[in-house]
Amino acid sequence: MIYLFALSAILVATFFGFLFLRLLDREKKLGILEGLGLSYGLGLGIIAIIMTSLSLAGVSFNIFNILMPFILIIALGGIFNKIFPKPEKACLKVNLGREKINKLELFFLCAILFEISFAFFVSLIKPMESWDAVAHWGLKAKMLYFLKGLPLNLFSMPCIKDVVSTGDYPWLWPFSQNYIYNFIGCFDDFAPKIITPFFFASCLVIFYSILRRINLKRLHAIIFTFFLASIPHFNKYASNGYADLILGFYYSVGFLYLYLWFNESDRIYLLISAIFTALACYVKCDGIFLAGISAMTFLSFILFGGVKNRGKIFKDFIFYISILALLSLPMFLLKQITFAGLSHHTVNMEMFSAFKLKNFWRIFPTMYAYQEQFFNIKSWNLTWVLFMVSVFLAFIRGTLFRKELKFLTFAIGLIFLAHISLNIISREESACLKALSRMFLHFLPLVVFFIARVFTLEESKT
Amino acid sequence: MKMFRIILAAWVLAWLFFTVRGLIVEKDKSTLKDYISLVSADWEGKRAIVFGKDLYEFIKFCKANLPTGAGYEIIGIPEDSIDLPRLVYYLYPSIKKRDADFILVYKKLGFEEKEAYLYASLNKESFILKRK
Repeated sequence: MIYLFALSAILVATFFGFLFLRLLDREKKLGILEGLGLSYGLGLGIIAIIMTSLSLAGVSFNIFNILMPFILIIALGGIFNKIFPKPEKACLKVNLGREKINKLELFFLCAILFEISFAFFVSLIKPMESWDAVAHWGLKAKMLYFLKGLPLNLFSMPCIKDVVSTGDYPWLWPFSQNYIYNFIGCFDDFAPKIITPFFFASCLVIFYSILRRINLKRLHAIIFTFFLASIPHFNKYASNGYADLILGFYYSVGFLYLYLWFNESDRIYLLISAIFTALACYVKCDGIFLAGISAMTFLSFILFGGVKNRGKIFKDFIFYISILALLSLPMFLLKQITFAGLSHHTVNMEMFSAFKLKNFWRIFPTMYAYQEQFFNIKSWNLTWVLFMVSVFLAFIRGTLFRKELKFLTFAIGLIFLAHISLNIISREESACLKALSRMFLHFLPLVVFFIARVFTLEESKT
Repeated sequence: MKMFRIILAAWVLAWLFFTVRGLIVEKDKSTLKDYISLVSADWEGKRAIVFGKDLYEFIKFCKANLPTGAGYEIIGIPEDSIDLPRLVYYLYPSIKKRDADFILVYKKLGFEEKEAYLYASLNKESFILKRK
């Protein structure tokens, strides 16, 4: 019964997310399948922004306070769209397609469905139990429920700082759990576990849609979606209550729609990219770092994308950065106010002043840790081996820096470079290596997309 | 495209092999046997399977006996054990802190603390002490 209530909470969030997406998608470019995938993340993301704003305003959390602003936003948007309507455009709407599904497609579709069902099954038969799920995210969500909101002096309350070790982390994941508690009217250690498998399913649906948007055949889009779904490192995080898959979802969706925009310059892609990238900042501190990578990739597109009208593209860049800044502002304010005077142990301004030249020797343990991840055959994570093969193939074919691949290459390369640099600069040795496997998860969909692009470059041109 | 087909075939074989192996080989309570026992158990039973019967009994005992919002210290669970965050999570709004009124003793036979008396007892080795 508790799962039925939790599912209702998810459906309500998705429904509002869907209405919001329809307001943004004024030319009706998005299909139902793609729209549903986006609506889920959008619904929970906007709820997190609302809950952040409620915290800043000192308003307590309850289902009315959480959903009312959402309804108001949708109503205002609806009125705006009525006054200034835009005609629907004929365009590619991504659905499964009308052609008959062949046996091979059916096999891979069943395999994807198996992975999704298995993620739900494993998630729902266990309560919150893994380390970060209870120590950080679950505990925070439970605290907020008993405190009926997020008091701005939370971390000056006696003992809270000792109990919560990642106080400066953003709040999307605890807020999503708290939304479920408020919806069902009680604390429950099983109910919020319904959230992450839905992120997994949404990620796959959107990934498939994006592959179709770059003109991949249906069979190939399904196969590469299966690749992503079957990576054990990826689907494991759909059921263990960690925030890393959620961050991977928001960042990857944000980046891949930016990539689509580089190719098609459609306003809806840019909007989705900016919103989802901003929402990545609400999940973990790493999201802020990844949002910076997306912004730098955009800048590299202006400089090296061979664009004709640089002035117009620069205006789009300002638009993108403005949305990113505006949406992530409440999160930064909340972080600044609740965690005033306290600092993150790995990334802050002090760490730069603590940098010494002799830290460069850390490049060796860093490289060692990287190769451990790349050749992690123990848990059959073959993705990175396949990624290296793809890079090699793209290099010898001369496509690594061609239009279709260069911004993906740039973003993935920049993530690695920034992460290695951070580990060298950081005060604490190996601070950034502790959660390396999870850091790799944040951009895994991008890597699979890169592999798909390399192997299907000839096909998608037609 | 031939290379891609070879990779795909190898990937699918590896996926099938490791998926089946994952359900057989003992690891993190994720074998088919574990799943069957989890599915057939009620909510309480699921928690007991996941946390271990002893720890879950202790959590239930502490929840029943600690006053709501009371501060506590824990003896008998190492700082790096996953049992510790699980206990802290389930006992909230009671909070773990230093020099707290209550001392939760888990599997420490004969543990004593000066100026503390036995407040409640689960068994000989797991109990709650209260500072005077």
